[in-house]
Amino acid sequence: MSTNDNIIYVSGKLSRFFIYAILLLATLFYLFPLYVMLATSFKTLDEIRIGDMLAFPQFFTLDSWVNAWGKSCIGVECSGLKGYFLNSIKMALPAVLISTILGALNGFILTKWRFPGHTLIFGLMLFGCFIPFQSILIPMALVLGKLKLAGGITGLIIVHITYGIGFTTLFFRNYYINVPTEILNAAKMEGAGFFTIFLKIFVPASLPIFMVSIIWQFTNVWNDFLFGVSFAGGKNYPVTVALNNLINSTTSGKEYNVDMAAAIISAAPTLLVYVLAGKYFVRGLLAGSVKK
Amino acid sequence: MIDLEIKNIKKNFEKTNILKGINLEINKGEFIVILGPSGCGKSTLLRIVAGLETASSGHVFLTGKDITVLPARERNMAMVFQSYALYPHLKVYDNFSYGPNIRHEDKKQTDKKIKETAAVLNLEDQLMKYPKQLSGGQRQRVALGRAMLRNPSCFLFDEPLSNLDANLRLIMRRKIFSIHQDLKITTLYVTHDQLEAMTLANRIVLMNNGYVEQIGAPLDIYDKPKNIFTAKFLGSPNITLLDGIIDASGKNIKVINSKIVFPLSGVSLEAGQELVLGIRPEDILVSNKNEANFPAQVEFIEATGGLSIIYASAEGCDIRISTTKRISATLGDTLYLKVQGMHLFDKKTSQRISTINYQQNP
Ligand SMILES: Nc1ncnc2c1ncn2[C@@H]1O[C@H](COP(=O)(O)OP(=O)(O)O)[C@@H](O)[C@H]1O
Ligand SMILES: [Mg+2]
Repeated sequence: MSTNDNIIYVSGKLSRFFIYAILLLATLFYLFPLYVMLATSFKTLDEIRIGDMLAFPQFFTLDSWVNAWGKSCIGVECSGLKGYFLNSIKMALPAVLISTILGALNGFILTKWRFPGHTLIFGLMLFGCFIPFQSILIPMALVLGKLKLAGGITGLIIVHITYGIGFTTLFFRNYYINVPTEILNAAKMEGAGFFTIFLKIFVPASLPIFMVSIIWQFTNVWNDFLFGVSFAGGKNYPVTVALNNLINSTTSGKEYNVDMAAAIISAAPTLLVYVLAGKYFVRGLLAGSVKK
Repeated sequence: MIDLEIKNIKKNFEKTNILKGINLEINKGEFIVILGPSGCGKSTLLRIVAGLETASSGHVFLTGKDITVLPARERNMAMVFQSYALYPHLKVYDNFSYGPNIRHEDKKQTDKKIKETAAVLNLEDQLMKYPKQLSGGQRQRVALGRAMLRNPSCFLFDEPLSNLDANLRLIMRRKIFSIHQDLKITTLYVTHDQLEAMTLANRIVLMNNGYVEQIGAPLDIYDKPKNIFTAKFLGSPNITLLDGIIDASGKNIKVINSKIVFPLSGVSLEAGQELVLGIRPEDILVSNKNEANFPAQVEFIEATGGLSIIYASAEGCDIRISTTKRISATLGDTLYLKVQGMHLFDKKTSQRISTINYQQNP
């Protein structure tokens, strides 16, 4: 190895060191709020009042988590977030699954089972992705009222499905457009019909994009506040709305530890989904971009 | 017995007329090759037969039954695609069993048939692999096996070998040939490769520009091309084409713009009749000055060992000669050429009028 190579090698190592240092700093900076939230949630109110926000909890307690989950008052009801957390699950699971399945079907039809006017339909669906939430609140409320679904979880599910279909269709359409049509033709020649081909060939061949769609939809539906506060009511609020109400309904001063615990509880499912399935998300998004 | 009948099939894509009335009757067990230049509508015709494309007009009959509007999946035909179209997420075994399973065929029976088919195609060791782990030739064989497991009323092939290298192509051609010998299933095979057509077909359907130019047994088409297109499309190197005219005496054919003259024989034509002369490369012999029809200058020689192909020029006309003799000549050398036979085409209609064989009628 010549001296020149050595210099490059050393400078390569050095720049690597700086890159890692910078990344580490950025990570710390990014994780800092989470640390504060976690630390605060395990402290007693007294410790919070006197202490340093950054300090590690002295008397480690789970009280605020227990309170946030089952005891804190939201409005007049004092039974914590748990009922609302369940609402969010009841809302998110069907909304995510149904919008994903419909998106897959749409994507399949728009690429492999085309009908006259398919470009127009797809264009309108894309357009649907870009309509601001606020602008549909009133018409949607009217429709839900007519359907006698206003204020309930079912109505909320329908809103999320409707709003999600545009995105899920886009995901699946872009994925399926790269699946060779000959594969579809081969299956037809073997005697397969529409649903057989969809379920036995296209669905199994598209797991990465299913992950993308599910993660995307779950994050949006779970984190939604506006639709929840507008179309649900009382006991049917999703956890995001309940969190807001919990923080606003404290009577005897701010209970920061409970607020933090409640916020982490509300955000936990989306965090969990990313940790468990994040790599599929990246893989699925990249899948269409590299042609074999 | 006629198995498959194609009756006056036309196809338009938007305004363009791709198929302009195709008629074809295929006998049971026949191996038909649809041959033609790329873009002439071969695949479109095959896809209409398969039910993957709808004809603009015309009919397709299978064993006498009109199947023109029957969906592909109900036609009981098997198709092999150029791209193989294997199911990427399924192992070879499951690629094989997919069709039988959706047709609810007996599982034990299917397993037995898959093992037999794999043995025929030398795929026994590949059954647990995914398509992407296979070579091109192996994928091709999986596609073929999948079609065989369909136990179809007819086989449809769309350029199945064109993604393979020359050596594999030869091997697979033989495989397809021997499978057809065994199963005797009516086969429609699309290709642009004349060698595949000549070696596989019972009959060739030569297509051009949305029309059928000629239908016939390979050697019949080669020996009696119906028109200039057919004569040009079959044969390698290409047939030599010269413009000619019947001279005033009515006894000779004169090559336009040259002093080359051939005697007219076997047919009488009017003086002044304009012709195109088609001379196969093997019908031109390298001869001596006394016997030759005309001299020509060598432009290029491809000596491939068994066969030498000579490109020459005679008074501005391009001449192609193939011979098993080894010719020791270089660029610019003069060869004396003797023509043993030729096709005469009508210059106006491009149709063949007659074929002269000087060997039989010296
Ligand atoms: N779906 C289609 N839409 C428009 N034009 C098409 C379509 N399919 C084929 N064509 C055109 O029809 C012609 C014949 O195509 P094809 O049957 O694939 O030819 P070949 O198989 O003989 O090469 C081509 O010019 C092609 O561009
Ligand atoms: Mg083609």
